Amino acid sequence: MIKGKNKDLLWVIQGILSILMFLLFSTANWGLAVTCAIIFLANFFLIGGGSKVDAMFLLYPYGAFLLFVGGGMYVLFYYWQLFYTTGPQALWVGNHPGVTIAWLGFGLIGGILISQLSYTILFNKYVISENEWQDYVAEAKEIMRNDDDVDTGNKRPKSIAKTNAGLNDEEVQ
Amino acid sequence: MTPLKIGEIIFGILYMIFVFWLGISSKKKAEESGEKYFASSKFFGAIMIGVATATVGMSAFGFVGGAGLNYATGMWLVMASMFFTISYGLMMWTNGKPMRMMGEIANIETYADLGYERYRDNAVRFFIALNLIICVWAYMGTQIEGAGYIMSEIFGMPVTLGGIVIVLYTVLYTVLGGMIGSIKVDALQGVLKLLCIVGMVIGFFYLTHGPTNAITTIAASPHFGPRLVDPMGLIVPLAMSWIFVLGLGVMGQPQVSTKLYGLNSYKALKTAGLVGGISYGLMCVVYFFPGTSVLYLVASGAIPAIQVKDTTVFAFMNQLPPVLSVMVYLGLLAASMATTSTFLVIGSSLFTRDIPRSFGKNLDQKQEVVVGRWALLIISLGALTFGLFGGQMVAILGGIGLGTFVATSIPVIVGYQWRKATREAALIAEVLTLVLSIGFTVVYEGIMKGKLMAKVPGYAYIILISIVVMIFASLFTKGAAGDLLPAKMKVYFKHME
Repeated sequence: MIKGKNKDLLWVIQGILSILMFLLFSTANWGLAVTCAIIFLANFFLIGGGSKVDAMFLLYPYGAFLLFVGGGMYVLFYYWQLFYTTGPQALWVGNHPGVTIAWLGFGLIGGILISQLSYTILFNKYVISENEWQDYVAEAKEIMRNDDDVDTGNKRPKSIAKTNAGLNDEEVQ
Repeated sequence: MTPLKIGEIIFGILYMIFVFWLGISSKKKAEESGEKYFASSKFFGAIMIGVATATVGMSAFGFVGGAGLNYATGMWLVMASMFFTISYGLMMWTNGKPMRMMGEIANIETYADLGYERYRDNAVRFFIALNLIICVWAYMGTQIEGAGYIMSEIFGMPVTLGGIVIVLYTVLYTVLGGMIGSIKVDALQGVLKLLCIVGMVIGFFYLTHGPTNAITTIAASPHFGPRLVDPMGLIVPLAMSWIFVLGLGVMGQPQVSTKLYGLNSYKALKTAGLVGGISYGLMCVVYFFPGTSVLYLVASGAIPAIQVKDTTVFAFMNQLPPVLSVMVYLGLLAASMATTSTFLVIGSSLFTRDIPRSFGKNLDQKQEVVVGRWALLIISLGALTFGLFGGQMVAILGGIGLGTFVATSIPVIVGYQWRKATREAALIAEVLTLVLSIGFTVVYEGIMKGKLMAKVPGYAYIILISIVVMIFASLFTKGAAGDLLPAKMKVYFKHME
């Protein structure tokens, strides 16, 4: 899904969001600036998922991230402004509600359960599968036979020879 | 001197001896090749790398600077630090596969190598190297300053001397053990830091009788007031900008990405990400428990107000019963050394490898030794100057280093995810990062005291400028992009996208 022109468009969106953040941060429009920042960060899921992004991916991790982190930030701002001068009139798990949202919404849910866990459990489907890796290694092996990097010193690593069946260090060099 | 203090000193010396042995135990391996010295390519499993990447990100910056900043400015740091946890996952999604894939088609030893391979341009490599020198100085300076406080607390020496001792000590085992030794030491220190975290959590409840009591006492205190306990604290512009800066923070740290080269299998990526991420998430509690405990103790009149904010974590440790105090002590000892060795390796590779190769020159082994020694001296002196005489709080200085790191990484991150990212755009972005990082630090932060532009720190703007330039300049230029991609990169993108 995120390939070719779609990917170009996504990067342009990232650029536009960056310009908006620059303008909003520099004029102290915190709410809008942070909203742009969260969308900007979420888009890196799409960039990382690339052509494999599908409807399910848009739900988790992308949509879930926007919902919990974006929604969490909205609630955080609400309580921040509500108790700005008076101090917290209600505590959630012993903390200012905004701080508890940070712990649970950003750290636990947004960080561990969405951002990190999604990479682990969706690795084969959205990052790279065993077959795809083997195909890549095989083609990498071919192109490295004609490596022309001697002048820069960036020769292919010897370890490639060890990981690719049928090709040893001597053949590589 | 109390028996506990004597025990601390003896244990501290024994620990330093053990770490030194661990660091140099990889001497033979490290000497086999530059690949192993600088990046320990494909040498370690997922858990080792996961813990090592987490501990690299959480050093004295967090343990000393985090507690100090929490005490001085409030709970906003808890909120912002959670974006570090998010960034860990984003780093894996964005950098994990590219790092490992590039390890199969090129000899990637340094971050500047990545820039070169993608854009086939020595100027890009050169400016990445120059920017990284500034980053290493600032970030390692943070570490040295924090380590100085730790050594001062444990051994009673002046902070400056403590920083110098740690640098000399770390230089020694890093020269011998390279990145392999560094990763082993980082992993050990990661475990000790996790033990320290347990001590901090229990210690918090022991001292404050729970968060409700702590928060209400701090909020009601005339010395602190309600702003200290709200999620944006006393420095709102910094809090707001760190949501974005720390959100990209892990993704844009070359020293974290560099460790991913060390994975022994591509499959290890998925486990390393989770192990590293959870470890990192757990370590983020250093931004809350020690600082909040001390805020409570001061608010309740149990101890006087802290004069030097970066000593907050020691005030916390000194109020704990012996067992908990030792657990925290171990973590601080680990934090005093973590990261420094990694930065020394990165720093020396900039001089012995990246800059010479930018001019088409490969140093032979003898030249590398000579240049490497000078490089360590330059890196160490620069970092000492930044850290001990820069006049910033530990965490603030770390922010400057982190921001420049992220801005420098942008052309590499974008380049490995977007085939249309061009050589020209990367070069402009790197040059601008260099000019702006000096300009903003000297003019905006130094002379103008960061008072304009809503008081948002300059490095946040530098990151944004780097992104904008990288993306939009790529739309109007063509070098090393699209059909003009270097041959290796065509293969890479065919399988990466």
